[in-house]
Amino acid sequence: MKIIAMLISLSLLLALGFLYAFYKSVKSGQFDDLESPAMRVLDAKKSKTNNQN
Amino acid sequence: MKSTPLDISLKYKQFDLVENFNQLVDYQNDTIYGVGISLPAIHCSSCIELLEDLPSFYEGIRSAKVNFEQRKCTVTASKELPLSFVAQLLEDLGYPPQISISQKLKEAEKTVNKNNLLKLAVAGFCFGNIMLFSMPHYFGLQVVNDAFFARIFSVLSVMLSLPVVFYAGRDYLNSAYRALAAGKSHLNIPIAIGILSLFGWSLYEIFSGVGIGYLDSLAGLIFFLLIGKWFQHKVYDQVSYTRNVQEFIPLVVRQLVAGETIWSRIDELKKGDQVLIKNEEVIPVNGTLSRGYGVIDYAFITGEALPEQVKEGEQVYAGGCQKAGELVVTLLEEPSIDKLWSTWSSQTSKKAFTDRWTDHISKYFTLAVIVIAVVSAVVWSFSSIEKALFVFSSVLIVACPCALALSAPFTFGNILRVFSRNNFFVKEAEAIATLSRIDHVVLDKTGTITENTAMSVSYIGEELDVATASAVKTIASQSTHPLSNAVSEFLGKYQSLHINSFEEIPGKGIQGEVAGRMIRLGASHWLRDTESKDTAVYVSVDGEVIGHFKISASYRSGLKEVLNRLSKRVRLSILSGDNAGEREALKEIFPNFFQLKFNLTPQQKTVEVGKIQYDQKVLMIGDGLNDSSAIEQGDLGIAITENLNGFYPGSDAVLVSTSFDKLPAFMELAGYSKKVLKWSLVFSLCYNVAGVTFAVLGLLTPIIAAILMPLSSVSVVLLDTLLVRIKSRKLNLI
Repeated sequence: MKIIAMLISLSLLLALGFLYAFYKSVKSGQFDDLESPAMRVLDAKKSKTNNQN
Repeated sequence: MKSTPLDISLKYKQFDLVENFNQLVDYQNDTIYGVGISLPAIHCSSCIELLEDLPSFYEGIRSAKVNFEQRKCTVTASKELPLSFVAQLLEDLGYPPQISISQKLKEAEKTVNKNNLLKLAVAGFCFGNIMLFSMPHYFGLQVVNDAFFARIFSVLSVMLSLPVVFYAGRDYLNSAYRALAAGKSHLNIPIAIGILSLFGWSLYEIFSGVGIGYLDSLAGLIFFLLIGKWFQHKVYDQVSYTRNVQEFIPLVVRQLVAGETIWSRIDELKKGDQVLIKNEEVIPVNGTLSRGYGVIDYAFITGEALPEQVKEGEQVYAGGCQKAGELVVTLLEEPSIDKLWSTWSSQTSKKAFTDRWTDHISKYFTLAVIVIAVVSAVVWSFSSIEKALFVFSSVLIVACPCALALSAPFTFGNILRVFSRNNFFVKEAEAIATLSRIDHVVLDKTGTITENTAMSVSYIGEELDVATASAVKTIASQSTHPLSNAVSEFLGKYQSLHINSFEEIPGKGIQGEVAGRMIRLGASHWLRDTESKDTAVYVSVDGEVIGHFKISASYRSGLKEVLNRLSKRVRLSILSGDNAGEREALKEIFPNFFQLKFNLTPQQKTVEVGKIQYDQKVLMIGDGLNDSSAIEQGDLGIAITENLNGFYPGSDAVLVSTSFDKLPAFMELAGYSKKVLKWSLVFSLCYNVAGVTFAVLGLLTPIIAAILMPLSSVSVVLLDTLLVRIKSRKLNLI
């Protein structure tokens, strides 16, 4: 049964990791615009020349 | 491609002034600058493609990146390219930019919402995990008997609840504290009491080893509260209410100095200076017209839809928009922006909604809960002090106003979303509560119940044969005068003919020779030597007047139905700044106006609204600047606009004119919100009564609390959302 304690702390650590990733992504502006990236994919010219956008 | 010189419009030129420039740009160094520009016209993926391709067309532009959700483009450009050039370029491409300093201030609010998103994430994360640790309790498992796990679960729950209370729930505690310090009642007070008593009692239970507390309910409560707040911000982001009057008057003008045109700042001008006003530009100062012929649209200031004709030597006023050709204006006074606009922007302060009925309920609610808690504690104290303490805190916990606190934000939040989907943008959720109590609707006429853009034209006189009609259309289409435009549009189906000569006679009309006939279109005093009261364009062929076009503003489609539907709920009045010429036409559309007043100045309108307010709640609906103080005066003010780029001082809500016919449905939905709130109140009271009964009897076991409390929050949220959606569907709003 004691193994559950370890599993729980692992799962909590994992979840904290996700929370931190989410925090990072909000701060870096990934959630500012949820629509244009989807449309940018359709821009034929850009996808040929570079993929940075 | 090399950048080509553009004819840069007056309104953009002011961006190049050093102090404005510094405020507008996001960053700059010696060679480049970056600026975020709102482009409301962005609407599809091709827009993104076009705008982001700008760097390959214009050397000076280093990069362009579109944010579709915010309708914004971030441009990096080299300093050789002035900001006014970038703005003009965007406008020429079909994306008129919205750059302004107050727009910049709104950016700060975006960060607030970013923080709300983070708080929501933290609360959600902790809520989920705390629930996980409380699972054994939900199922009545005996893990609690295993002291080791009970300990671990409890300690972890406490650790997880700390960020929920002190980070995510911080705003609620702070605002409750501020309200208490100011001696005011506020819905956040019972919420704060609930949060603190839940937290305090849970800590006591956990550290004294009595139980595991109610941290799951606590985290859930804050999580749901934050979701409601997030909704509200999303809606608010779509409209800017913060623009102010200065943005509509140019700060830089073309000054004529010894025949040369130079750019000058408006506050550097002196009395007697001459400024050049081009077509479609706003007159920045009061002055006399010294050259050119004015066709000046004062709609923004007086609400008068038809432009005024001004001859040389006559006065023109700041705020008017020139509609035909160039003007030279000589200043009559030294311009002072503050003075110019003081008349109609006197108070555009934010209106506080005084009647938040949830506040009233929360006052009684808080009182009742505390009374019940104290009384039952006193009664229990006769048998055991410890039991009395337990009963006291369990009453506070179980009566926590979760449902009460959640139902208003969720109901209003859902309604806000439905409204904004229908192009009706309400500034604050509380405005919906006010909208539901309105019993008198006051409408402005011009621009509110009439169309701003379309004029209705009718022809009176000898019948026009095809040849004459074509000739008249040909002549009318030569001029940019708004009345000629209206006539040529009215005769749209006729073909244009070859024109032999054409002349525009300022102040009188236009004339030209078509197919050997001399056609004149113009004012009554030119063609008939008499003045006419109506706005009319007379037609003469070879010197003989054959009839006239009567021009009036046309009413919005569906006006009659809107008025009839509204009149079932409220009284209706019209306060207009125009002449009484339309009185009979209005009575024909709707006979039962409570008041029908004309020739009112903006100040008189405000006074009239105030008079009605003695015994009634007034909704004032108007447009633009001339109504702003009346809109401010009303218990609720709605500004009608053709597009969202406009500006609406003093208004609590903005209605896009295409949704005018949905106004009765909006009011009905707002009225329904009262019913929804009542139902959810009854619903949550049932929970509370049941819970408090258990608590008072000292029977509140953790399992009952664990089931009762989350259930009441979730079910109220679901009930509210469902009821609003069903009603909106019935009203064809979704």
